[in-house]
Amino acid sequence: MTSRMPVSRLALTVAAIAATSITLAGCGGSGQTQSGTGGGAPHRGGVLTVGDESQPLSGLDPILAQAFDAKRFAAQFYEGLLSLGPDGSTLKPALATSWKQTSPTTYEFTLRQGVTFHDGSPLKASDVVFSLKRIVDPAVHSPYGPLYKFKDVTAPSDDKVVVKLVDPQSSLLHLLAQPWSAGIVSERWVRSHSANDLKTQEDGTGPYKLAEFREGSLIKTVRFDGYWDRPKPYINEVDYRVIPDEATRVQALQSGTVDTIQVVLPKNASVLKRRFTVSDGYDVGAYWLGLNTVSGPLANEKVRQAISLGIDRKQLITVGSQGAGVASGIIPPGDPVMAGQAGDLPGTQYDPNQAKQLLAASGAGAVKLKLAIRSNRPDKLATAQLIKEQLSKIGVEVDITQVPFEQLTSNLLSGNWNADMIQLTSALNAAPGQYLSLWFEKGSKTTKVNDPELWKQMSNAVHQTGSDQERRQTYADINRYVAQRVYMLVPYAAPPVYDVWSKKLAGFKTEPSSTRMFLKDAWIG
Amino acid sequence: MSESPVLSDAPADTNESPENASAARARRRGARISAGVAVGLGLLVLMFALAYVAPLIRPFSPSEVAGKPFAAPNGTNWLGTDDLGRDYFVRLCVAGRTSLSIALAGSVLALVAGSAVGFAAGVGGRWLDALLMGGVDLLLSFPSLLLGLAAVTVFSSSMTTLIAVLSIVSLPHFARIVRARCLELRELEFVLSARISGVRSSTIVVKHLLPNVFPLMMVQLANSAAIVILLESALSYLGLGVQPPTPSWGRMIAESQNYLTDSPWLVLGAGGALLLSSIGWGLIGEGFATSRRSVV
Amino acid sequence: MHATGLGPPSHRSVAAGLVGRAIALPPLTAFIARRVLRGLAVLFVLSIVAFGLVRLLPGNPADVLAGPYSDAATRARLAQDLGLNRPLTEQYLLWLGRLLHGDFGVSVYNGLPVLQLIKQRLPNTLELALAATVVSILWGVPAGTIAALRQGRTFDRLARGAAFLGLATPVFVFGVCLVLVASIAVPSWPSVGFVPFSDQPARNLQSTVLPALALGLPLGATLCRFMRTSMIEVYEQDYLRTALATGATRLQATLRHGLRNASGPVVTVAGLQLAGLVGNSILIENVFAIPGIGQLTVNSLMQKDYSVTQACILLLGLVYIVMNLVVDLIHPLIDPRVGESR
Repeated sequence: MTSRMPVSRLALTVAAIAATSITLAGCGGSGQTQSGTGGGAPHRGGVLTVGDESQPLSGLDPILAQAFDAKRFAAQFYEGLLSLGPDGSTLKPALATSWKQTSPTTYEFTLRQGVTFHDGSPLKASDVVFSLKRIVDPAVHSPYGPLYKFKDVTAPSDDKVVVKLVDPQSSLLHLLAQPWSAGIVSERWVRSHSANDLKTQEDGTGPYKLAEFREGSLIKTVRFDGYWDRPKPYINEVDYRVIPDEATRVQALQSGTVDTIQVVLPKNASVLKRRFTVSDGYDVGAYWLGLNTVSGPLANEKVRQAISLGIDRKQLITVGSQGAGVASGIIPPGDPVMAGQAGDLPGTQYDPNQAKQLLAASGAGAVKLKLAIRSNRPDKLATAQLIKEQLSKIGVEVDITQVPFEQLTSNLLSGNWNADMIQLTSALNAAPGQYLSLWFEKGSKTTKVNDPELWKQMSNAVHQTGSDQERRQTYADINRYVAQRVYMLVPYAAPPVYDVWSKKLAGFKTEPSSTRMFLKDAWIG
Repeated sequence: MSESPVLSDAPADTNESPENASAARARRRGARISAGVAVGLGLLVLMFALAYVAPLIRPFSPSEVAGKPFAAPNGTNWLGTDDLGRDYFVRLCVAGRTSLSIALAGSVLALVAGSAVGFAAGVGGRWLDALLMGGVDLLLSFPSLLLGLAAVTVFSSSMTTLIAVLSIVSLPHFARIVRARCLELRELEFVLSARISGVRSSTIVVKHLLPNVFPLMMVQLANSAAIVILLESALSYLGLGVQPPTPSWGRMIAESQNYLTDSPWLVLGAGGALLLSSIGWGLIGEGFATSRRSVV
Repeated sequence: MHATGLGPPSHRSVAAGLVGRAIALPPLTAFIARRVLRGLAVLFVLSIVAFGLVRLLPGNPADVLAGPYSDAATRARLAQDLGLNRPLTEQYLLWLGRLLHGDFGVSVYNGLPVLQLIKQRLPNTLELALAATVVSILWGVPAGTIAALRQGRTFDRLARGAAFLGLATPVFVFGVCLVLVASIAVPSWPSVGFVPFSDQPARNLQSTVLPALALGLPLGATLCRFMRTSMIEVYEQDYLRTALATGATRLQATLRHGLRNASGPVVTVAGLQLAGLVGNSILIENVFAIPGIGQLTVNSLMQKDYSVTQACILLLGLVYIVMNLVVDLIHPLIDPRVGESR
């Protein structure tokens, strides 16, 4: 229905891990609304059945949620001080009705009155202080802990919370607007429950509360009657059933066993479009091939250039990504700093003849590359196999090894890549400064590039305090520079997931994090 | 598949003197038995030929993009194309190499190792017997699929691991059959006399036991191959078989299951190839079993 | 061909091995005691195997729990907190000690007691197993009996062909094909998306039909074969000849004497098959998204959830051991041949 989202409106800001600033792409605009016509006016009632791939492996504790499965529940049960609009970047009030910055490192929040937790106890300023301090408590093991540099969090009065930072951090408000990176919990409840309890029980302020947790099969949630944003939520009961296999999930949707699912494969999304509403997806998943340019055959720049020219990106987009991909540099077009553009990228036109010449001129002889990709992801594997096939035509042999995700990331983080190329996909909970640091930060173990010029650019990008325009320019420069020196190969960027729902669900909107954040606005038509 | 009813499927429990009766019976019914075996052999020859010869004749490589993705079967791409536009027929054939060779290698290995255990238990002393059969019982006290799953997860799934794992899970059947036969045989006159006259155990095994047990081992070989090919495909269906880009039937089924409603020929093609191979081995085992009047 | 592809060893090889004819049948109590002791010994070894196996898995739960973007310090702290740094023998003894007190530990991921996880999933697997067994008996026993009656005729050939096909078919392919057929023939049939019986009984029964068929039809193949073989054998017995000679029709004689006498080996096979269901149900639970024990085992294995994997392995092993034991025990009781000839 709608064309591909104008990307300027999207914000990839879900977790700005580095202290880099993401200026809010401050344009208004709404998220994708594909339904909304049928179903009449919003009204209460009904049961919605959701088919989900998995249950949260990390449990229901919001600040432990990293994966889709866990974030989806954090988004229903918990809330932050602020929230994000459907565009994924506009800040909106949530548990705080207003906020102001009183100094470069001090923020003051005014709490909403009359908010209660699911157990009926009222939200107090002390709960907020407890919640924020809990995120940075090392004993909690929250992945979001390192993102905050709190000097202090205090509650000067019953309805005020003051956050003092060590350094200025413009990503703070966005972090506080996400249920997973800053979910507010009840101090009394958390203190009276064990860490294990928190994995299968909840006590948030969100629109839905947990009714039943049945491991491996069902999570039943019901409308929270005491929700502050009346008359939302509308749907009486939302049941999340586990259907691990995508094909089975599709089958379940088609037979009416479930009302909404998420699919990864574009082919499935397009087939389902005939009978269901399918979100357009957000181009936030850049298919990264990180290159080890420090040692091995890829240390030779000519070899890298040859490989870049030897990759037929058009074929990778039409076949590998099943037509869902768009041209992309290291920063996906879905990122606000790219404003929907791939950027002006040299050396990305398919030219096998020149690639062969470059390869011959490089003096590298027979080039054999080891490509490590994540196991159990057929969509990632498809493109890798095509790349292998394409590169074999210019005389480069690629050996694909599939590695479990945890092992892949741990190889990456430890610096022992055990491969010449590592495939990862840019994720929503990463901001450009963060994910570029993962690959290109000076002195980091993960960095496999030795280029002082790039490090300087990186440092500028991370520490800059200039205007929006300047910031975009800095990132655009890095995007082009990396393509020019071929420090990383990016064939395309594609949506990581598509939401599909039946006519039964009305008024549902998706947003860039794809966590069903706005389920509370939807009703059963 | 048809033979004189009374004798054909008679349980192995009924006593008989093994060295002559069954052979005579086999000769008597040889012509009819060979029908099933012949069909089975024919199927297998066909499958092996498709696997090893067909890809050389067809104008596509298994990894090249040969057409539009998800093309239906047609004159150019006999079985259509897969999600990457690769020729599905050629991929199916090449995948056959994986499945067929693992099944064969795994069962032969199981035959050698399992029979060795069986002979040792049958001829060796009480303690050796108890020890070995205890181990066999342990192996059997566990679903073989799960054992395979665990082993492959631990040792990563290469061709070698798969062959080793699959032969280990098939080994107990050989061991039990061989041991049971040895226990029967060693009480028989010709073996007893050899034992009394002080012939070494190894000689007894080779000269007297092996020739009598060998046909049983062959039957079990075919049966095992049929099981192993199904096990291998089950493992690779669960994503734990030979890793891509090497194609295998189980994985192809799992992958094309995603496109079941729109391109059903993908699942049916791979499933059909798997079925034909297991039928091939099964028919051979069946035919031999009938001829030897042995374990079903 | 052996029982089912992924199933248990056939009745014959087990019976031949366990109740080997070289071993004289000891008095019943001693026999039972020995069998139980042996089962316990196997279980003990299995506990070591299970424990060792999961620790051989590459990676550990701390890595999975900490997530991809965690730093090494977080992982190390988690590993420490989970007790993964203790010596293996100590970990094993701790686990075994708790096990003997009925404490199977908790899942690393959702913090729920392992026993509870198993209890929640067990009904689903049992239901599937039961339904599949019913399906297999419903077609296997009559088909085998009739085939024996009509030996060599068309029905016999058809039944034997079907049985052969059942043994050769990979269950997961069969399951997928059933889904395909159902989605074309009855698009609104809830072929997948299993709902537990306690939730919506009607929906549950509907969603159990296809998995039960997928599991039960191939399973019936073995039954069909054994039924046929046993019946043919029974026909050769004196009492049936007598019955026939006294004027009873073949059908009457079959129903009166044959079925009862053939039931011994068939019950044995059915029992062993129930244990064999475990392996196949892993696949079928995968195809039909049924939250059962098989799925739990595979998932916990993949996620390196040590306590859960260990408990599942022990449980599945226990099922096998108990079923083998039961078959061993009832076999001499109900199969006249075993009692008489030994």
